[in-house]
Amino acid sequence: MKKTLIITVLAIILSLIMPIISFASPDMPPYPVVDEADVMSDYEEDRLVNKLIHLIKEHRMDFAIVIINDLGTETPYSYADSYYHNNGRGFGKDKSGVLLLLALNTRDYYIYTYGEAEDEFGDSELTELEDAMLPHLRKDEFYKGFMAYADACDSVLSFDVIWSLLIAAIIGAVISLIIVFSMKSKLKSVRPQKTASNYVRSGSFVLTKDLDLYLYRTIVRTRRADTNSGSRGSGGGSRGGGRGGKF
Amino acid sequence: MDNEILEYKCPSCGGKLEFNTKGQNMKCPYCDTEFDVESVKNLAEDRSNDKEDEFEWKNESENKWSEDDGMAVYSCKSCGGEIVCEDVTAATSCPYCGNPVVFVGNLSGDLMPDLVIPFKLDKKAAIEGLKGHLKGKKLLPKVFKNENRINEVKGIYAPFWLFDTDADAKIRYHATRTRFWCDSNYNYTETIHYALIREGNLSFDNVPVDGSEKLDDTLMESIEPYNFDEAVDFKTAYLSGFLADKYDVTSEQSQPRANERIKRSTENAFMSTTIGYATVIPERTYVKTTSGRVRYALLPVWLLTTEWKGKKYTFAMNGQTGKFVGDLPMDKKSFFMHLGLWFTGITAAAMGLLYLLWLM
Repeated sequence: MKKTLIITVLAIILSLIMPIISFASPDMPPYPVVDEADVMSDYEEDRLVNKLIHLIKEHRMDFAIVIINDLGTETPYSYADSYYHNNGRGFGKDKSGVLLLLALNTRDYYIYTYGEAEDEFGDSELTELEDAMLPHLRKDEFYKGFMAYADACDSVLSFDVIWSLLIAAIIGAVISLIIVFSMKSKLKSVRPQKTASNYVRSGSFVLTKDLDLYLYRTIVRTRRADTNSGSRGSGGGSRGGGRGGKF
Repeated sequence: MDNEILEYKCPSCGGKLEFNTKGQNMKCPYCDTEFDVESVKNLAEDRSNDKEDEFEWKNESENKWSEDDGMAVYSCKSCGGEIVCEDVTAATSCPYCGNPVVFVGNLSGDLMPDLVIPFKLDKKAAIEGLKGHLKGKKLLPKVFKNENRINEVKGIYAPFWLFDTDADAKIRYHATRTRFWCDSNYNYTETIHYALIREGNLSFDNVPVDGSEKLDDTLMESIEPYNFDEAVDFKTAYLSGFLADKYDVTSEQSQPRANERIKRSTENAFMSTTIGYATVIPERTYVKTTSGRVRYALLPVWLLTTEWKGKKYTFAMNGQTGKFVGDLPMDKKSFFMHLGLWFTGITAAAMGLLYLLWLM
């Protein structure tokens, strides 16, 4: 009984310190969750941390969630940018990573991307993350929102077998049809001659009039798509990408 | 019917003479003696005296076959056998003794061709041509290839009308050029419209149009082009050993097809002068042909026929250039098998490539 108790206690301690131990690797970013506003229970935070560590290891990219009460005078972007670079965040040499910042008093969020993550998380991928987490965050279901966000990050970076198979099948169908129909066309060689170009007398083509007359011009003007849909800030230092808004 | 038979006998052994495609002369297949075409022509002149002698059979044929039947009966000068053939036949061989015969009546007067391109390729080349034609066709039923037995191979001088003309054309096009630019708020597309006016002329020599009703026009066009630099003045000697028909489609009936091809070529030539525009659309095309001249020619064609699953397949080879054509049947099973294999292979490769791209 005593032995079992010791093992249980050790297991609990180990499970608590494992995330910290695993950050001993030089490439590994710091602890991935900073909950200054205390919106999650310890149990929820542990589970979220484990999930984010799993993502960091699998995708070799930093995944951090920072929840603060007040942005102060900073914009969400500048805060996230400063936080990311001043706290040694990022994975590997290029310090690639994604940081989700939540400011509770103004209900601002910002998904900050840096390094390779900036390329991986374009507009459509950021929309996927927002669609996954915002419905929960709006109901103050923070833990559910963060878990949905983490799942969405995983989904964005994972190899999508179904879509890939569909795209590969479309490519396969188009190319194979072209090949097989070209094989079929080889069976047909009886075709009428459309022209008499083989029988044009050499050097007989003479142009006696060759006029290019300007008639009129038309100009069509279309408004350019707004390229500044995200609320990117303008903080100093290293500039990353990303997008933010209200929840 | 006012027609007569012309055949060529070897002065050396009396065997039937045939046109030798390799030496471009007449050759006796029995004693291998070769003769100049001109010499054979002299022989033909001699044989023309025999026409009177053969006149009787014409009366006989008129008794049996009327012009309306489209058939005629002749008597072979070598064996005396009856040759029943179509009244458009100009050269054939006797079904009894195999002697080549030429019906001079179908090749004289208005029916005399202006030009002939002699056969350069022989029957063996035609059979080899078919073998080559069947090669590399992956969807061709294997049974067709393996069991293919040629029913008939015949070298025929096909009647063609040759059209020479100068084409004057005036074509007006509507053309546009486009330019794109943008500022901070808008994208701009500028389209500049032009009227292009082109006038000029070009000339055509020897545009051929099939003058035979029974030969498929598309098949005959498929084996083009012919090199008319090798065409020579018509001599009946060239027909010896081959089949030949006189025309049964008049030059007037053939003109629309020649006009169609000449017009399209003219349009293409003029279109090639409208470069540098994003779009060019012809608005008005006017083509007028002048100095038109029509000549009658016999062109060499090898025709091969075979039958498979109750369907007749006809192949044609240009007797001058060797261009071989003929539609072939498709093995549906093989079609879907190839489709499945290619689809599976390409899909797997594309999947692998997508995975590699994802890893990068």
